[in-house]
Amino acid sequence: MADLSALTETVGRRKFLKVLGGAGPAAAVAACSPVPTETIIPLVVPPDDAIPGVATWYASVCGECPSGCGTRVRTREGRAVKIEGNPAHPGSQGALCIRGQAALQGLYNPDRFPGPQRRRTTNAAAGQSIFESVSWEEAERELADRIRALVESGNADRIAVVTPLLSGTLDALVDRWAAAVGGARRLRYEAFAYEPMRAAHRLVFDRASVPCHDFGRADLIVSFGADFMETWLSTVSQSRAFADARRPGNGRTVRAVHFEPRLSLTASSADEWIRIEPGSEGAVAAAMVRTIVEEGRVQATSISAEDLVRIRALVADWTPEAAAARSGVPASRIVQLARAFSDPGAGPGRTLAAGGGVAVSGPNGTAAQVAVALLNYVAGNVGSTVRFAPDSPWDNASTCADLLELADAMRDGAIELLILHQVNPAHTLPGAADFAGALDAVPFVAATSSHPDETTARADLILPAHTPLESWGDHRPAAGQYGLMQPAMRPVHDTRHFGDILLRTGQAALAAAAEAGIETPTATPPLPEGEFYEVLRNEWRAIKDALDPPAEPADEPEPQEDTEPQDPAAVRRAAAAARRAAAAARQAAEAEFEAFWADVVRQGGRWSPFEPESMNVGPRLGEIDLAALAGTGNGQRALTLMTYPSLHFLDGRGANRPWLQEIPDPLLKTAWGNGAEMTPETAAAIGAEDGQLVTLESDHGSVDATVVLNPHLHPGVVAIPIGQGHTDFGRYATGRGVNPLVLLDPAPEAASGGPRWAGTRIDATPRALHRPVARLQQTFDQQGRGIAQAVSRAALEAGDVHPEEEHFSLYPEHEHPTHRWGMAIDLNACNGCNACVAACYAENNVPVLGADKMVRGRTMSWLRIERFVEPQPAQDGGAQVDSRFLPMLCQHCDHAPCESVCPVYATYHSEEGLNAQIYNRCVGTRYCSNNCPYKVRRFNWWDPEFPEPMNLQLNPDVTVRSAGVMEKCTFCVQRIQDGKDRARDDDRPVQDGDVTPACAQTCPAQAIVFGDMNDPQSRVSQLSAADRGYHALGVLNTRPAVTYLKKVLP
Amino acid sequence: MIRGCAARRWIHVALTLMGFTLAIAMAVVWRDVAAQEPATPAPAATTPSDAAAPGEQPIAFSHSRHVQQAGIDCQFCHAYARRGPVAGIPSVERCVGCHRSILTERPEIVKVLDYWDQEMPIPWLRVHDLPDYVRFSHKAHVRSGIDCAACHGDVARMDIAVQVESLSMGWCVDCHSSRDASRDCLVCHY
Repeated sequence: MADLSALTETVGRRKFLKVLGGAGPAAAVAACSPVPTETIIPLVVPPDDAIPGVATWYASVCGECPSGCGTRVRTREGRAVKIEGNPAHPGSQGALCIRGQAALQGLYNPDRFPGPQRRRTTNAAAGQSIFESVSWEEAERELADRIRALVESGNADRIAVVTPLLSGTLDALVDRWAAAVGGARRLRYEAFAYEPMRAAHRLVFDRASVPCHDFGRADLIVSFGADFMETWLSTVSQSRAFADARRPGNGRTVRAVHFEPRLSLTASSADEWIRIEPGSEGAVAAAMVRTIVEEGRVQATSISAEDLVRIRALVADWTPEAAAARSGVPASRIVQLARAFSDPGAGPGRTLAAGGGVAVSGPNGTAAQVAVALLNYVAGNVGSTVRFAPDSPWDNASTCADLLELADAMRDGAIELLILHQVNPAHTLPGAADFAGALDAVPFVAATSSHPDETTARADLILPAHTPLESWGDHRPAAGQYGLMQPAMRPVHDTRHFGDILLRTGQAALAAAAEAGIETPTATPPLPEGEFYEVLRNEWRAIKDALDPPAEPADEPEPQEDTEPQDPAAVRRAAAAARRAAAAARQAAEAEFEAFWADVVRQGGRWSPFEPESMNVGPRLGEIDLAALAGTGNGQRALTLMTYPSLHFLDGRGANRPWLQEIPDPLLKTAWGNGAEMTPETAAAIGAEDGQLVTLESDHGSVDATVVLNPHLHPGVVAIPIGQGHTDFGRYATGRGVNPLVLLDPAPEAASGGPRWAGTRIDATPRALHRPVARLQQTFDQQGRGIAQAVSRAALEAGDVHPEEEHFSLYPEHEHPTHRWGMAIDLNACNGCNACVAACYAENNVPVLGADKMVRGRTMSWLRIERFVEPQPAQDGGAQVDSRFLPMLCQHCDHAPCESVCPVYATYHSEEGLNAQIYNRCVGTRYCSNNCPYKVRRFNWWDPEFPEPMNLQLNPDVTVRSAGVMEKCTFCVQRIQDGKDRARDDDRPVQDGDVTPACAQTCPAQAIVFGDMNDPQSRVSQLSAADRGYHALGVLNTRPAVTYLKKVLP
Repeated sequence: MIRGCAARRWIHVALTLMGFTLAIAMAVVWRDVAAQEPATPAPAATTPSDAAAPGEQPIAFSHSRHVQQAGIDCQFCHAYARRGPVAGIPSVERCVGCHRSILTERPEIVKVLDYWDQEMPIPWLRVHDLPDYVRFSHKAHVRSGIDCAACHGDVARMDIAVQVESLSMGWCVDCHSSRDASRDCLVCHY
């Protein structure tokens, strides 16, 4: 040591090298020392239901959006490691979307509130304050005191509670709480609350509701901007139904036409995308209604002649020619579509029109939705493919106008206590509405959100609630459908259930008020006693009685009504016997309920199909005015802004999940940011190029965004996804991209109270700055290589499919004596939704690199969605785009180019057909990656980072790779081993379906099928042998184990 | 002069260390090569002189007393061996289940009861440790009828458990070869 310190004084190059020469071998010798001894810590008391190293599954409900898909959470040693769909759930049938997969990163997010916090002013003059930790007792006391003060002063109406759209017990409890404290305001805020659709259904059917849409039943689907595979309503079940209906060979021909100014993911899967003038969708729908009515093709059976006359009068002005002039869609096309939509040969109720997305949320959104509702009505679809469910929770959702009214009340000082639960209106309301400023005007804001965001940043007290994965709860999307949410693990942090926070503070405040002699409202039911869990169970007692009526009690002895006086002893005996019988009956009922409870907890709920309500046009038809469809001039500014919900982030709530940031958007392949999408022509017109910053300015705000060129957009439209541009949402979301909502006109649409996502006029001015967004695919051109192939429906039916050429090989064939694992991927079903990619990240501990590395083109994904756009001759009605998605993963080639170049035998071909990568042999030459034609091998240039407690999510069944090691898709070999292990336990051979990789498991469209190619009966064998089968880059004769099935073109 | 001396000393140190490293590396490589060569199986490291104990255990637990004298089966305490990948170290509750009433005065048992009273786990030192990149399933081996002693040695006769087998990859592969079990890398490494 002394030598070293002496050396540092005059260290030169030679001396430095000498020291280094000595230190290297010394380090090597040190590395040869024995592995340090580990301790092995047993449990003090082992849990009954867990075996170390064996997964325990819990059925629950996904809490990432109001759809509430059923889930199964895999836990290991008491921590949730993976979420899958619940196969028992009727809609999702075991699938889960990308946002559901990423719920784990909400649970383990390193930026979560670790416990209650209170704002303390540090410098009142400068307005500076910090959050400091407090105990739950203190935090709840403070909130209870605030409530009590308002209750005592008779000002309970100055309390407001804002939650997301909830359903079931928790929703009812919040209402009960609001009533019990004396009439607090209650709002259910969703950024995407389908206000125009609800308003339109109120006008047409006198029922302000969001119906269920059956995409599996319709033979022709016409979507007016409804992104039903991305964010619109229940995307997983809709994707599944759509894909099932369109599987070649099922005897059906289901066509889909999509109107939207932008080619969305959903539009990419339609047979026809019609690029339409923004805001003119309703005009086309109205013209279709008019054509159907005028041509006498009305299919609705229950329609009265009188109503028909009224409908005819409503749409009289919207001739196909008028709609064509407004929308740019040829009149002949509109007429043709209208005729197909109400084909008397097919009968009523065989088509479906879906209006939605932001395209139908402009200034005339309600009028457009009215036209869509009428279209479904005259085609006889209401009650068939459009089914109104009794008790839909959407009926109760607050509108954007309600929130703006609350903000006004806050500014006016009419709100003294605001409780916000898992909502972020400071980010998701139009910026010009200044909800953040309104928050500052409220004397006391309490937030029960689990994550810090723009809204909690302005709160006075944080009482962090559990995330859904730590909570009890239930979900009731419609009558007869009950999902039960159970916690998959103990809370990661010092958090409490939102229901318990409400109950405890409410009970304490009311008790204190009662003690002080203040009369609390008695008309309402009082707050329930006890904890939320008990409230939930009591609620489910009622549900049980509705679902499984209790067994009829055995013949009870009729009460004797003898007039004669009885022996008192006999009366006592009879009374005691009756008490005993009653106690026994109670006990039996309790046992019956416990059995029912255990069953629903295990199943994750009970679902029965509901009977759709019958709907007819209502009395409000006269209030409808479709003149708004004509549009309102363009004003001074040059461009139209279209903000749209993000597939990954929804309204922005997913932006702090690193998987959702890291996985590239399937359409533009952008990651860790967003930009202003515009066509190359628009960009040229304003003098900007890809990657350049432009200042976007509306009458309401301005923002600097990066230009992202997107040719598949209506000229003159600038499209920006909602969900990015956070200023205070944790390390992963803050400072990424832009929030386009600052540009929006804050005034809601008058007819519905909904936000106007589209239609704001803006100007764009280029700046002399470039800030490129990470883009993981530089071209969508296949360069004629036929990677993603397609076949026309006519050719497929004629058997003209051009089967793949057989290539001769010099090498001996591999032998696969037991299994040969293979995969078939149906490009016709794949809609590019990225769910498989997120599932792969979760299952295989794939590291997240972050924005800086992705901008340089790095990624670690084992599975990616490639997108290719084929040049297509333009058809009338706009540009027809043939956009194909191709999930690309290791092809597990039999003649793998990677295997022969590995100098250390780290990659080799297993006898089960897997292209194996043995991490502990790999020395990181990267020859394999260089030799892989599919570019699916990933090299760890850096050690992976999993900031605590994100590391708790890591799948213990998969090695976490370190720097210097190559990795790639393993076909989820850990699941293969598990499947074989289970088969051996049962002493039977492995069967088809025993092994499902994470990607295939979660696919909402069931596009990926995995199995044993040695078994000729397996689904994968049958699919791979199908006419449409081909291999990617088959000309290289790599003999992949992955067979793609060609997309079917109309 | 002084500088020259220092430089020479460094060269000596460096050369010596390099020599050491080379020798050790060659030994390791030779051992690996020997272990992986099926024709010349490496001598199984079963001699007691190879036995390795990790250090002093928190409680001087005697396997032989429990197995030989009390006749307790391995899986009574290592209860997960036939059900999961890890055999499991008995929970404190399992120890106390018997020792609440048996030999409660013995100093080592008093230690166990202390852990129980304090609701603390016993920090055992791991004797048999495989590298983190190896996936070993007790269940699969128990199912195939492999005796515990085949890998763990005759623990039944040991007081303090020690490792007697090398648990090296060559040692695993030898056994797999002789029993015609899979020798695919992916069986253990993924």
